Order: sequence, then structure tokens, then C-alpha cells
Amino acid sequence: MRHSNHPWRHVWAAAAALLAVLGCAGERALIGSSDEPAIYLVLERAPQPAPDGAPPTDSGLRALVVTSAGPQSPSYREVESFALRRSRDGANFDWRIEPATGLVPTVNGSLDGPVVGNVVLPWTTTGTGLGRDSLLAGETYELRVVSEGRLIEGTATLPGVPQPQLQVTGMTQTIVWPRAALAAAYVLVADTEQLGAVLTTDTTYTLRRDRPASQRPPTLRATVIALDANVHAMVTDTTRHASGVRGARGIFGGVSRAAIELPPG
Amino acid sequence: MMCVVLLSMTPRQVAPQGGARLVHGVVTDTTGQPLPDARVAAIGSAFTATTDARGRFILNAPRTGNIELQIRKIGFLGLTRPLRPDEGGQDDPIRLTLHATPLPLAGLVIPGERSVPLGQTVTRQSVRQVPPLGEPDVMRALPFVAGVSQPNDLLNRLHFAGASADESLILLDGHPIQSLGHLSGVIGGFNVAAVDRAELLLHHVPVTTPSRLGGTLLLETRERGAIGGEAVASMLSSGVTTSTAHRGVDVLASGRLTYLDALSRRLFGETSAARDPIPSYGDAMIRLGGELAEGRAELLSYFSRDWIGQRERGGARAISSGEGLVGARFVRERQHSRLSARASLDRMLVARASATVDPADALALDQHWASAAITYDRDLTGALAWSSLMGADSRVHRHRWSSSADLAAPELPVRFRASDRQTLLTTAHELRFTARSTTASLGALVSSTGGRAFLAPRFQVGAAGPGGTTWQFALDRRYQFDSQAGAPLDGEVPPPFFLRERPRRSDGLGVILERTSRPFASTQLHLSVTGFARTFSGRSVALAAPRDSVLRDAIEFDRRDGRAVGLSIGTTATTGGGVRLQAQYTHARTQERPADRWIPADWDAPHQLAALVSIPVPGRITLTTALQYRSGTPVTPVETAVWVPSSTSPGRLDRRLVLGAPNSARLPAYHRLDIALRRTWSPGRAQVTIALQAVNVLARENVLAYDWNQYLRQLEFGGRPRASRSATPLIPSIGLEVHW
Repeated sequence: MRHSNHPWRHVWAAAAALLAVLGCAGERALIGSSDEPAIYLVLERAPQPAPDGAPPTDSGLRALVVTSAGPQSPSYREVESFALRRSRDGANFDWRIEPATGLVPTVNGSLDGPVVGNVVLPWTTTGTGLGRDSLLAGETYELRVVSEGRLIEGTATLPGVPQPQLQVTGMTQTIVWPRAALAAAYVLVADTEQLGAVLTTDTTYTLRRDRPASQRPPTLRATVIALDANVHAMVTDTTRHASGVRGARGIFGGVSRAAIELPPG
Repeated sequence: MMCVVLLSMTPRQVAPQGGARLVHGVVTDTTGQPLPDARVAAIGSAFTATTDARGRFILNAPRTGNIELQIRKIGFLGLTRPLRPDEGGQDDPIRLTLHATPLPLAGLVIPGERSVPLGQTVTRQSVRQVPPLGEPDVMRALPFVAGVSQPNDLLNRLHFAGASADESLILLDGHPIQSLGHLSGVIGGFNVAAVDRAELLLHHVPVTTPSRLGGTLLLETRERGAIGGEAVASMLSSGVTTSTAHRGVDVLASGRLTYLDALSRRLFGETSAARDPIPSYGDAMIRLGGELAEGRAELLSYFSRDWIGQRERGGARAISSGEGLVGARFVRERQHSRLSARASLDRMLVARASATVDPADALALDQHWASAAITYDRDLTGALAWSSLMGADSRVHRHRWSSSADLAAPELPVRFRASDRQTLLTTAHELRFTARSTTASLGALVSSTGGRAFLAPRFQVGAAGPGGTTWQFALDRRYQFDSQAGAPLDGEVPPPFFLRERPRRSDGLGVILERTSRPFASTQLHLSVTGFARTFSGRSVALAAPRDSVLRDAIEFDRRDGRAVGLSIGTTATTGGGVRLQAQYTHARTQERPADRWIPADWDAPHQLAALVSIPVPGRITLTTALQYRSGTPVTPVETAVWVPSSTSPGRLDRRLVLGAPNSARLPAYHRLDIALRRTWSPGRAQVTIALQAVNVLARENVLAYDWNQYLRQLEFGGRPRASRSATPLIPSIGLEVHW
């Protein structure tokens, strides 16, 4: 190094070099995006009960085929073909594609499952295929979807329908049900409970009746939902991005449910 | 092992080397008081000496040529003067007088003051220039040093030259200590008044000095033999430090106690304090030393304690933690040899303080570290010297918890109970060469545990060139036999260390080029360039344990490799008007290989800038401004989401985030501007300083982490995403120092 008569020259040179380097330090995006397909289809024989008790306008069973896009909202994806086949006899279901574009609407970061799907299954069987009323517990179903050139396949088995009963012992009310065939776990939803839903592998649940009376509906009900292995795996393993489906993220599974009325008070 | 640390204790009795002669001298201040720990050098040569408690030194100086002596001591103006051939005889020692500096010192890192090759020195006076987080703290000053990073400025976790935070070792007067400080690492564990200096050894650690992979921080207590004291008060605590000497015996006593909890109760009331308890802390240190006929003996005791909660009142979790150290060291010096010995016993404890707590909710981390070492140095010939070390470490760790909630480390099992024991034997040998302007050393440290031995060779060479230019180069291999199970979170008990029979290893090189310009227009400039490259192998990382309630008795560790490379450019400028500038820019990349691919380590920050400007303003006030900038730390971005059945509301689909490639994005860059004003009076023989300071004066939110679900919701509602954990907020403080 040569002797310098101008020490500050070094400082300015170093500062200039530093600023040049700092200027190149860009930040990468924290939120990414993906063009991977994603699907959501959970088979269930019973229609969703309408909130006002009116009969459902369609079967309420819809599939959602989307592009994952960013994490905030998926975007609808064009579906070329959507086939659901009963493994036992190869019978096809009458899925109907309802073309949709743009972002799937979210409500507080969630999707309304029965509403936002872009493929719908009619309630009754027609000449073009089976309807929702042909979904049966214990049957295995095979899915084959082609969307924007991507093939999505999956297999799911509908679990048996639980048979809940209320047992009252003194002040204790317990809901019990025998094991449903092929059910991996159960979700219990009761109007008397502060907890919205309870996931359990047991076949009994003692009601706490801790929801305030002001928040309870006039008619109290308890619903037991049997989950197949695909849905159970997706719900319990929070690191999973696909269950029961190949060629896409998402889920293809089945549930069965049954409800009983609970005594007031 | 203490040969390096003890250099400052007594004047080194060395034999004249080839072409050299012994120069005897005494250094005093203007009142005639001897000045210990002053460094004396023969300019243009590698020969240096340090004065003892009576200000005496013996320097091995070149016999021929125009020799200039340079004498430096922290807090005094440097002195350079020619040495006549007839000066400095044993019976007629040369007498040198230093003048105290009227103003605080220059930059944070003191150029040329290191006592270990490639080391970097931070002094107590320098620490006080850094606008503090409540009160001056050595650990808060270190991020201004090249090669040191502190990704989370809420914690005293430092990364040395690309190493992880559990790969640094702290020695207090040569004794290993285990705790990073008070308040779970927010405040340093030492009253800065009791510390003389911190030597940071990143790129070369002599084989006789204990180390972890990243390096060693040598904390030296206040000068031996000095008489005086300090009382300091801040918004957090008050402390008193006093030192005295009489008839060859010197005592240093220092204590500090917080009143944060009491202040909180007064300000916010008992109810608030019970609901949200404020931690309390205190520490104390006593050092007793005595000059012997041929050496010195010293006893050191250090004690620190933290406590939080009021015996379960209001449901508070009463946790106490602390560390206790008792150490002794001894040195005997003769004309051609030096023998030094050290014994240390350190215990760190974290436990629930209340006896009324449910036994099922217990927490106890208990770590004992006993160690001893004997070092023997011998001058062989004129230019060669030899050092040997024999050491032993015995560590016992007992860990127990029934709920990992206090530790807040997701890797740890919920319930745990185990004890761990390790005996480590070490021996080291080093050959040193000193010529007119060149130093070199070659040595090896052998560590043995569990029936296996590990060889760590080390090499260092340095030279002084013309015109104030020096360079030093080192190659080091290091081993580390412990590992921290997880990274601590702010305000939580740090996860414990576990002893590892199979060590992790690091190999690296470091080079430092330095040049100090001759004064020009009353301005002196010091430039340094530091480069380093290190590889890390077998770094142990705790594997996440199942989150069940099974009582476990072992932690599973994964092994992964790492690497780091960096280049720092630093400058220190001092003008005749008293303006001081220190700036440091480091470009470094730190990577780990958790699987088959190299990814940025969690603490990787490619660009780091730290600058400190000190300007005297009228009225004996000094204005100091400190700027820190670094790239944002790596983070795993959110790539997309899948929609899954809600576990709480049937029919609803909840978002489940899909993360992208690990550590492939970065958080926003970190900026912090701190300001301090210091005003000094000198009533009588005392000196009083009042400091007003503000950390993060621009109140910038520096992001430490995002909660991605919250982040997305804020974006969806059109707001600016806020951090779930952010770094130091705007913190103003006031401090008072009285020196006598």
C-alpha cells in the first residue's frame, strides 16, 4: 500500500464501493405463486342441510378444480373432463362442469365449500350417469380429471354412516356410536358445545353443554361425521398438501354423517 | 493455557534474541503513578511488551538500526520516541510518561491493541461510546466488530465469522462461563465498569486458549493495581465498582442490582406487575490478587442471578436462573520460562423458584463445568519459544422439565429428564518464532473424550511492513463437544446445552491487512481488510421431538455441514478536532446443507454495515451516532396454499399454507440508528458523566419474523403487514457515571 497524503480519499472510495454493493441487495418476494393444479372433492351421500330447512336446489356436492396461484386465493381452472367411476362395476357419475374464471371468492380467508365448486353432481340418477343418491357407504370410487392438459387421479372409499345415540346417566349426557365401517376418525358437532367441532377416534363423547343458551338454536342437534382415511390424513397432518389424489395438490376423500336431536336445557 | 491472558500481569522476563537486546523501562502518568497494561513496541519489529502493575516492562528490541519505541495505553495519548543505544539498561530503566486523553477514545475497535494475533480488542471506554440498550453492555458493542453479526438484536446471541450462535465461548479472566447474560440474554451478564477489555478471537485461537468453533471472547477484568472506582446508574440498574491495591495485594469488587421490577410496580401498579411480571437481576464480582516474588496469584468469583414472578402470586411463573463461577490462577515467571495454572468451577442453574409449584410442572436445568489447565512457556533460542498445555474439563448436565412451554423450543420434547456427563482431556504444544518484523506459530491441540482423540492443528504468521502496514494469516482447526438444543426465543429460558461425544469440527483461514496512515492535517486514518473462510462439519442440530407427553431421556440430533466466507473493510478516522469515525462493512455468505443442497443459514446476512461517529460539541458534550444496517435474514416464503376441510366448521374450507424452498427469500433489511449525548464534569478529583441516549431513534420496525396467516390477512384487508416478532423498538434511556 502506498503512502497517501489524502487519507479521506480512502474513506470516500470505500463508501462509494459500499453504496454500490448495497444498491444491488434486492429482496426476494415473500409471497410466491404456483401454477400447479389443486382439487377439492369430498364425497358424501347426504346433502348438506339447508339453514332454513328448505330443500336444496341442487345436490350440494361440488368439486373445486383450481390453480393454486398465490396463497391468498386460488383461481378457477378450465376443466376438460371430469369422471368419477364406481370401482365395483365401473358405473360413471353424472358430473357437470360449470365453467368459471377468475379468483375463487374467499370469506375471511376461508372458502364456502358447497358453493364455490366449479363441477357439480346432480342429486338424482339420470340416463347420463349416476347422481348423488347413488353414493353408498363402503364403495370405492375412482376419480380422473383432465384440466388444462394436466391429469389428476385419485381413489377414495366412502365410510359407513355412524349411528349416534344419546345416553343419559344422571346429569351426564353422552353420545355414543358404534364404529362405522372404514372410518378413520369422527368429527362431532353439537349445538350444546362451545367447541365448534371435536375430532376424535373414540366412539363416545360426553357433552359439556357449555355453550350459552343465547347462542343455541331452538332445536338442539348433535352430528357425528365419519371421515375416511384420506380426509383424516389431511386434517390431522398439517404438513400434507395432498391426500387421496395424484397429479395435483388437494384432497379426494369421503365422509358420512348422521345427526340426532338433543333434549333442551 | 493462560500464557496469553497473563501477558499483562507481570513484565515478561525474556532472553535477548538473535540481534536483539533487552530494554528495561517504567511507564507512568503525569503525576508519577505507574501505568499497568501499557503496551510497548519497537516500531517495525514484532517485539512488544506489556507493563506490569508497577508500570515496569522489559522489551526485546533490535540491537541495530534506528529504533523507535511506541507506547500506548487506553485512555492516554500514544507516545513515540527514539531509543538511544545506551538507554534501558537493567540498572537504569528508561522512564516514559503518558498524558491522559482529554476526550474519550477513538473508534470502538482499538487498532493495534490486540494481545493475540488476528484478535480484535474492544475496551470499556469504547463500549460506553455505543448508545446502549438501557445500560452499556460489552455484548452490544460487538456487532460493530468485523465478522460479528447479531441477527436478533433483542438477544445477546452473536455469530462469530459465520458460525452459529452456540459456537462461541466466553472466558472471564480465562475461566469459561456458560450464561449469555440477564433477562434470557437481553442484557449482558457483566457490569461494564468491572471489565477492562474484550478480546475477540475469531480467525485464530491459540492452541492454549479454549474455544468453540466460532471463536472465543476473552473478557478481562479491570486493570490490576489500579486504585479508584465507579458508580453507575441507569434506568435498569445501579452498580458500584471499586478497586484498590496495598502492599502487593489488589482487590476488585463490583456489584449491580436492577430496580426494574420495583419501578414497574410504582409506575403501573401491583396488579399489572402481578399479571405481567417484570424480571429482576443482579450480579457481583470479586477479584483478589497478589504479587509474588516471581509471579502472581489471583482468585476470582462471579455470581449472577435472574428471577421473575412473585412466588406464584397472581399465577405468575416464578423462575430463577443464575450462574456462579469460582476461579483461581497462578503464574510464575523466570528469566527463560513461565508457568501458569488455572482452575475453574462454574455452575449455571435455571429452576422454578417457588416451592408451591405443582411438581408435575417442574423445570430444572443444571450445568456444572469444572476445568483446570497448566501451561508452560519456555524460550528455546533467540527467536524460538515453546508452549505446552495440559488441561482437563469435567462437565455434568442435569436437565428436567415437565412442560417445554418455558423453553419455547419446538424441537424439544414436552417432558424430559436426563443427565449427561463428559470428561475431556486436552494437551497442546506450540512453537513460536519471532524475528525482527515477523511472527509465526505452529501448534496443535489434542482433545480426548470417550476413548477417541481429535487433533486440531493451528498455524499463524504475521509481519510488519514499512509505513505502518501489517498483515497476519492463520489456519485453524477447531472441535466443539457440546450443542444447544434449539434457538432461544425472546423472553424465554434458553434451551440447554447437551454434551456430545462426537464433536463438530471447523476448518478455516483468516487474513487481516492493516495500515495506519501518518497524520495528515491532524487526521489519522486506520484501514483494515479482513477475509475469512470456514467450513463446518458434523454440526449437531436437534431433531424435532414428537409433541406427545411421553417422558424422554435423550434428545435426537441431526448432523449437517456448513460453510462461511466473508470480507470486511473497516476504517477508523480521528481528526484533530476530536471527530471520530469508525465504519465497518462486511460481505459474508453463510450456508448450511440440511439435505443435499446448500441453503442460506438462518443467520446469513450478506451485507452488514456498522458505523459509529463521535463528535465533540460545545459544553464538553460528545454526540455519538451509531448506524447499523444488514440484509434481512433468510426466511422460507409462502409459495401457495391448499384448501382443506375445516376442523372446526363443517362445510368450510380452511387455507393451509404451502411453503417454498427453505430460506429462499429474505425478510426486509434491518436498519437502526442510535444516538447518545454524553456530558462530563470534573468536580474535584472525581469525574461525572451524564448520558442521554436513544436506541432505534427512528422507531423503525425491524422484522424478526412474520406469522404468515396474519401476514396474509393484513394484505387482504389492504394493510401493511406487521411483524409477529420485531427487533428492538425505540428505547430512550439515561445514565449516570461517577468515576473517582
